[in-house]
Amino acid sequence: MTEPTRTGMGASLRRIGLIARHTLREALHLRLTRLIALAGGGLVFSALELREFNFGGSEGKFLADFGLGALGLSGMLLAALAMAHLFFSSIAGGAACILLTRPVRRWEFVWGKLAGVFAVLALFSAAIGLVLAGLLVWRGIPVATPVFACAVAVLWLKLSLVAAMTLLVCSYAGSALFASSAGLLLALLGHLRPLAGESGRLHWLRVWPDFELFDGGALLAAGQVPPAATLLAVMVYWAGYVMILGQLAAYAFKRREF
Amino acid sequence: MSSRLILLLTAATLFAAGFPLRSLEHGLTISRLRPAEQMAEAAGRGGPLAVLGGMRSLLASLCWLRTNLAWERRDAATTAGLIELTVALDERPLTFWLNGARMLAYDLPEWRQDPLAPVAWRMSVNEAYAQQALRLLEKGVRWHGPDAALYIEMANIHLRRRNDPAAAARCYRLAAGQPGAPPYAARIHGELLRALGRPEAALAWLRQVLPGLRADDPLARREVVLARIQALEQEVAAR
Repeated sequence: MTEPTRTGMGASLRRIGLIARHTLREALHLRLTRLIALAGGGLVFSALELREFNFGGSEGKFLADFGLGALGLSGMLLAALAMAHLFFSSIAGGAACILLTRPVRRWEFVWGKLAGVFAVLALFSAAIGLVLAGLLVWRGIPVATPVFACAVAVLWLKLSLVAAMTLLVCSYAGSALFASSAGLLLALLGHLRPLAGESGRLHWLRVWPDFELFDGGALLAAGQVPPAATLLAVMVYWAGYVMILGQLAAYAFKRREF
Repeated sequence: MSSRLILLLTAATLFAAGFPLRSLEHGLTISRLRPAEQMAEAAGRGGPLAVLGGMRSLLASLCWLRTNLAWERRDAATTAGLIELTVALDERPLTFWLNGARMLAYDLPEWRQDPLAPVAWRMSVNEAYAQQALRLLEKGVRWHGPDAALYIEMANIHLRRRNDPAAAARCYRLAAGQPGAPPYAARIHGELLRALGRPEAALAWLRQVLPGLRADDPLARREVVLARIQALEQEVAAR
């Protein structure tokens, strides 16, 4: 593999940015992305029909809970499927090989792909969030913008973690199908993490990120933005796991043979 | 590089780096976390979607609909199981806790009653279901958080199904201590103390409650409390 001619963090970040932009463009042209976005938007609107089955809370709470649930579920599918598809399509299409023969390090390629998928997920979360906010406003339900934005952002953190988990599998897996399925299973593990408890046989599972901490729906139901220190701690927690998963993926991909 | 080696490396790195990150989790309550007990119950009873953190309102409502269908069929076991699943899916709406407890305490025992059965047996059925309803409400206090409505429902079950005014008085006292509690909880606590033969305690309690009752609030029934205080003063003085 040719070593990059330009070195330094600035040059690396530029190359990561280029790969991320390319990945974002590629993702936006994917039918899969549009299909999941349409399905997510449709799910949010279907809450209007389904509210007849709501026996618990108020209409506003139901619409918000259902809408954020739709964002979480469709976003999780997008994170796992798009990550695996984009990664393996660039390998199968030869784009990865062409890039890697140029002055691009393998870890830069991996982080570029991840950053591109993060950007797709951010756009997706913002779009579905706007649809949901529009729906709530249309129904005359007051929306506290900072809390709502915070809930959507917290959900994006969770979705990006799912993308990072899928990338880790992609870095050594042989097929997109396996990688996306394994990514979704790992996400499920994150949701079931609270069951590991403080002690017992499943105690070791506590090394895995806890997705209950990224419950945007509960945050919206609570109706207030958490303190800045708590949000900062959530960001550190998220960044820590993204770094671990990303670096592991980069390490595995460095030793991958084409 | 073999995938087994990568797997080992991944596990080792996660163990090395994941454990320090765990220390952050304790401070990361951006919202009230669902207890592991609730998650386990939802997952174990077949609510995996809700465990995934989305659409809990819809799933719980659909489950509540099934609960009511089972209730219409007078299927006691299914009704009880579905009530537990509903509250495990979504612990937030009080209506699930209160109506679920009422079904357990008042309806289910009636379906099992046999007019030819001995009174002791009928009372034991009532007691078993009342205890089940109380356990549900206690779980409600743990999962949903303390609420006057939950304590009042517990008190009503103690009073009407178990004939235990002492336990009912304790629960009304707890209800009266919750924010936004209806004023009648405090009044009934006082009445029960009196019925239990403790007029001094009832008098002290009502005197303590009186300053908090607004004269312009018809629900506070301040004049009723004042009249009861006077009656209790006479009763205590006559002793």
